[in-house]
Amino acid sequence: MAMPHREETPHELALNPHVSRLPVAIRNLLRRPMRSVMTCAAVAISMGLLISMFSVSEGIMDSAEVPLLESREDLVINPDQGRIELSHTIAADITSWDEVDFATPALYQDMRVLLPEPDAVDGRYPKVVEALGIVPAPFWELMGERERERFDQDEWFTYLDDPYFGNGTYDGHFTGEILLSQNLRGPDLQVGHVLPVIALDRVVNMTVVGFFDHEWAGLTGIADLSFAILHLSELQALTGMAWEGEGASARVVDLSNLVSVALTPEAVKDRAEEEVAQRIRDEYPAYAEDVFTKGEQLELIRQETMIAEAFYFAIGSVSMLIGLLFVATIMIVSVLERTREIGILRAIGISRRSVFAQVITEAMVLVLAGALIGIVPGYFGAVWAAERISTNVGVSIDLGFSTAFVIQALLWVFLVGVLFAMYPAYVAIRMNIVKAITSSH
Amino acid sequence: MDVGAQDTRIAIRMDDITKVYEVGETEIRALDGVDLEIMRGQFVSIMGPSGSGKSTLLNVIGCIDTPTSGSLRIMDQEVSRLKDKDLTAIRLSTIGFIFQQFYLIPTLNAIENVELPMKEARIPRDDRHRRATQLLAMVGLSNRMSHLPNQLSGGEQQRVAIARALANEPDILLADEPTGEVDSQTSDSILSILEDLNRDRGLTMVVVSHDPNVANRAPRRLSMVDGKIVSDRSGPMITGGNVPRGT
Ligand SMILES: Nc1ncnc2c1ncn2[C@@H]1O[C@H](COP(=O)(O)OP(=O)(O)O)[C@@H](O)[C@H]1O
Ligand SMILES: [Mg+2]
Repeated sequence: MAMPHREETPHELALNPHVSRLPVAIRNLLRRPMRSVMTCAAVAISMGLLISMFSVSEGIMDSAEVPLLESREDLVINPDQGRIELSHTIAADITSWDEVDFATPALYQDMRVLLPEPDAVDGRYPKVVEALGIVPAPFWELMGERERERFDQDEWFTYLDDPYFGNGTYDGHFTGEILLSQNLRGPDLQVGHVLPVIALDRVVNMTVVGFFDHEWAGLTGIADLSFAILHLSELQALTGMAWEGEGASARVVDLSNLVSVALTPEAVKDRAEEEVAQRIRDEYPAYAEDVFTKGEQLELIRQETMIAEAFYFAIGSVSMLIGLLFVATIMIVSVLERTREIGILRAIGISRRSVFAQVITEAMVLVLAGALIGIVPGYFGAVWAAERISTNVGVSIDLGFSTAFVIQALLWVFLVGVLFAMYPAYVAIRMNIVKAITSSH
Repeated sequence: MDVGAQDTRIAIRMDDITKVYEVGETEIRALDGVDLEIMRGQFVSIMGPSGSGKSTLLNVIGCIDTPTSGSLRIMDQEVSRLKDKDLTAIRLSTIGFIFQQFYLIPTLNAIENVELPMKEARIPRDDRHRRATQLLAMVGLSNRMSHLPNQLSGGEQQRVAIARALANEPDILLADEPTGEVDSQTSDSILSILEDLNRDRGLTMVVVSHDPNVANRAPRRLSMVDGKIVSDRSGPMITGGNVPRGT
């Protein structure tokens, strides 16, 4: 038998395929240019949705996790009912431990301020703002890069410790410094202006020392746009969290909501969180249930953001699957249309493998062309969605869009695309040759 | 196994081949116990009324259809029970198929159509280009090489199809109504090409035609009725000196 060309060396096998299939695939697709364009457009739209939804999903996760990941807060005492008594003392004690670099308390508490407003009768109107009381120096240390970026470093507290607390009691110097969120800034409220704060039964003037990015979400994801930061002891004094009772019976309670603990770099390296957590539980049994390591906190955040993430992930995935299903359907139509042609190919000795590969190649040209085009709407969709979510929910989310991310999405689409293209390819190779040749198509 | 099975002079040998289609309750015996031996280098025509099983016979020989029962040997190899992969390999290397409606790939130009089976056989680009050029020259289409099928006349398309069928130097050329769609003058030139191929290259040739002018040019002429070969005549020009078997 004259079969001089049948030897298949691995070398030839490696060289031969695909290279020549691409131009043929493109020609076949151009037979129905409108259909191919529409199919690409469908893929592009679904890829766009995939990218924007995935990037929102990524962004939500990043926004929630990154501040904590970057933060030096390795441990936190964070009671459910939000009360830690004698928090300065506890923080000072924990700070003295070997593994601990520092510990610092913080208090979240609503507070009323008198905002300047030209229309108001006396030029002011009272507004409740969410306030955060901190000890400035350790708090600044605690923040990760991204959190710090939300602050203009020139506009920060001049007193870096907690002056009013003094030597364990509230008799020190009241600095009256306050930082406000950007959205409170206005012509009548700038750095250096004085903002009256309604404290219990009196009005205390505080000097605005700075503004920070109003999208600052804080370590616990504060959604309120009107936000103020002041010295812990001053917030305590202003809101009644400093002491209980009056006059001689007055007792310092020094309440805070949480105590953040930063370990020394060596302790972090030695993974000593759990050990230190245990020591806190032992020495402060009242808060034994309220000690969380960074790992546990991340886990909590993940659980909280999981549903939102899963939601956007699902929209993106389903959209992409629909796009790929569309390609598969179009390819089935295209294969059936070419039934006779495929029959001829098979009849003259073209293998199932080749026909299969040809159909897959055609489908993948549609998928990849569409997917590449879809990156553009995907990017703008991601930006838009991140903005919408930021303004609607009030929590700033990062843009999860990056080159690595796009490559990942392309890979995903490619793999699932190949999987989907297998069905039309299978339809093509399962054809009965004689029936295919004699068919009307 | 009988003696004929080892005979290397035989190109095609069928033993009691049947092809049965079940259409609802009824059975259609498209091939009804066909015994046939075609020697290498023979030129055979098959005539018969429509529906008599000519195409089915050719399709079975061409390994694009499988018989319901019986044995089929192509170039001394039993093929009736081969898998698709092996049948495809035989179609690619041993058999050339020409159809009534030319059936070129519409997106490929003339030379690309001819190169297609060679590409599948992994013949290097330069070789296949050279060979395709020669083949198209042989069928008189040197000046039509980069024309797409729809830019060619029916006769030209059929000649491209012949060139394509010859691409991998097959042993057997099968043609189902090759002149069914062209005028008599074109039909004549196509037949001349087929005759030349048979004479010059010793190609075994089986041509189905209901046109006596075509069929009668073959040295050996079969007639079919109802899935059976009812006559097997050899004219005076017969080459190879073989005697039809089983009659
Ligand atoms: N796929 C099929 N299903 C059912 N019957 C078929 C099929 N293909 C062919 N036949 C029948 O087999 C017989 C032979 O057909 P065919 O070989 O095409 O005849 P010819 O080529 O001689 O006109 C006819 O009766 C035809 O109707
Ligand atoms: Mg027929």
